Amino acid sequence: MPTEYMHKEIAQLLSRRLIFVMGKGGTGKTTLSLSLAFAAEKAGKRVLLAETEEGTAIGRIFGQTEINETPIPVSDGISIARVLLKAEMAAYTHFHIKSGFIAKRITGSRLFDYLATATPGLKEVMTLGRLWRWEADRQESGRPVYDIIIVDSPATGHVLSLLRLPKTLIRMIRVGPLVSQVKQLDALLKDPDRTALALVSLPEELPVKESVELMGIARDEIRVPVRMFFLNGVYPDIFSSRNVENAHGMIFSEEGLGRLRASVSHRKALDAVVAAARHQYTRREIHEKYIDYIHRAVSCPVVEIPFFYTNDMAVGDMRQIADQWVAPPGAPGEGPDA
Amino acid sequence: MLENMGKPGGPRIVVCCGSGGVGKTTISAAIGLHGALSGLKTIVLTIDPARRLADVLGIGAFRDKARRVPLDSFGEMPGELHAMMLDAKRTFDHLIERYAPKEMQQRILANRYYQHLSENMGGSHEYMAMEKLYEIHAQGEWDLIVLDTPPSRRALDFLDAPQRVLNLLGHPYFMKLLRPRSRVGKLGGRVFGLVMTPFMKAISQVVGKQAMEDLVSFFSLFNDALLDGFENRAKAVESLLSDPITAFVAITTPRAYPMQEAGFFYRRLKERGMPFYGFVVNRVHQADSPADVGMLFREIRSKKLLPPDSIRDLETSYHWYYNLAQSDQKVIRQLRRTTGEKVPVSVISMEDGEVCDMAGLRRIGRGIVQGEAAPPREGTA
Repeated sequence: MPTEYMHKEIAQLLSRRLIFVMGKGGTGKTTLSLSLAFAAEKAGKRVLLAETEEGTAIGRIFGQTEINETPIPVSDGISIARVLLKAEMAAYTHFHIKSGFIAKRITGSRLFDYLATATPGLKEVMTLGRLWRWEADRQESGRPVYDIIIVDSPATGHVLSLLRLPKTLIRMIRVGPLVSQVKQLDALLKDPDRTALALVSLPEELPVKESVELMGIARDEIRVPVRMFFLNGVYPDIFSSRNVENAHGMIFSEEGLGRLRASVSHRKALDAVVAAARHQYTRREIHEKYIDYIHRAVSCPVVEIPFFYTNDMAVGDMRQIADQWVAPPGAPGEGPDA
Repeated sequence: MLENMGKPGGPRIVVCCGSGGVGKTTISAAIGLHGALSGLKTIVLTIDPARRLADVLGIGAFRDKARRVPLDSFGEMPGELHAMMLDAKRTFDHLIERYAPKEMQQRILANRYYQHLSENMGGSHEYMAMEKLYEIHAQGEWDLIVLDTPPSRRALDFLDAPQRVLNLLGHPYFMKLLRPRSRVGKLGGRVFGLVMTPFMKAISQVVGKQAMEDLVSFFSLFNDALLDGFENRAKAVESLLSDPITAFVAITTPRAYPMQEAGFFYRRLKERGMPFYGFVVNRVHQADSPADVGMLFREIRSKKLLPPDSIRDLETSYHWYYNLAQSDQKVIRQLRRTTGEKVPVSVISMEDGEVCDMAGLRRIGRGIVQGEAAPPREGTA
């Protein structure tokens, strides 16, 4: 994707109030959430990076073991927080039950715990309720406290049930104090100017197939389409675009390699170098196949996140990704060349 | 690791655990194939809704039915490989059909709480995987059963799943609180004249009256025989899992998060005294590091064997890849250090291409059992 176009698309994505990052386990949801948060910060926004109850990755990255519903600032523009179901339920109960004594008895009861786990949609409505209140938070000037809320969701199924929630809940509960809230939530989620889904996947067969399936579900069933597709861990194009002839002929064909081997004295070193080159060349070929596939299969913009040659990506790596996504100030549309 | 699986005294059930995206399904299939090729009548169970095992093994999308995997390409062989995709929902329904009285079955299956719990409750898939494992083990026809556990956020969820499901379904506290009241005037699955204490009324103000009624009606459907059935079953599953015929294997990649999960899983199993057999570290980058790489590049340059651009590309590629391989080795050393010498660690190399055929699975299977698997590098031997 040309840099200028990518800057524009990312800026558009980041103009939303609420972004849900979704994808299968191991595809890089937290990487993407953080990179988007850094990009939004770079674009001058105040960001709330939130994870749901099951998540622990974001807190850990910033050295915070126990984060809760009170946002903690971790940089100039980013605060992090976590939605905790029981705290939300308690707050909600205290709001609806006038007697503090009874409310306390309710939230302390095991029946309450049970209902929290087993009542369809209750967990989701509490999560969404919290996101919604963060969205509604205003400063005295009327400006939102957070320009953008990025939600690192633990599992695909969880996001889907979050978004499916209004329908399920209205069907389940029908009447009661929840329903009016649910309808407002629904309006926020279905508003394409305020809410967006970002999907992350890997350029491998099964993740790619599953993502395309997921996009279909989001579009047709949930009716909150995926706005941007991120392909994570894309191997760099070291060999194929430049010197294709040379690379193919002299390194990757048996004949060329045979000639090369015959001409050098450090053969063991050559084997090691060629093995590394072949691995990356083959990987890149596979990745290109799935990049092409994704471009054909999806209609939203596709953004690639490069493979990082490490086992534990650091905050700095994600800042580096974000730097590619945002045009430097003063040069709108003029991105730095990678 | 697992050299003695399926043999007298060795494990007959291999449970593959690990966080999502580490290649659990592929590893499970590879272990299963290895078993089959060493003469065992083997079945691989997976619960993944994405039908991954089906893709790898080339079998159709049949749910809840064992399918024989054709192994013709390996020639005559004494073993068999079967694969089965589990359907969590259907397994739950089977349980209801087995333990609930006939007249109650339809009403349980139609109850909204039941439907929600059986499909969405945390742990229900894990519970069902365990349940099915037990059922298949009880059939007594298999030399080796390999279970690919559901992709849970925490690798350990399924261990607690039987108890968790039981707690939710049959806790005496809820039974006492809800069941007697719901005996009043049941008709067509709905509850009339529900007597609610002020406490319950207050709760229904929060969650809605309808939700409360559905819940009460759900509990009213569970009788003691059904709960006893569930409970006995859960206990049987638990004792099967702690039996030495079961082997737990933790699958991971060298990445930080799955490694943490695998370590956590290992410690928890040890605490519980459960049979842990070792780690499989999948997708490990391997790079040889001969001392004369620098001299090689000088030689290629001075003899002008390759164009300058190509030499730079090769240098970059080697440098990056070597660093990655080093980083992988470091992570594996850390794992070995923290778990001690006695715990086996099998290292499976990252393949150049995609593992999507039987030959690849066989290579991986052999690697797991032998401890190391180097990918084939033709032309460089």
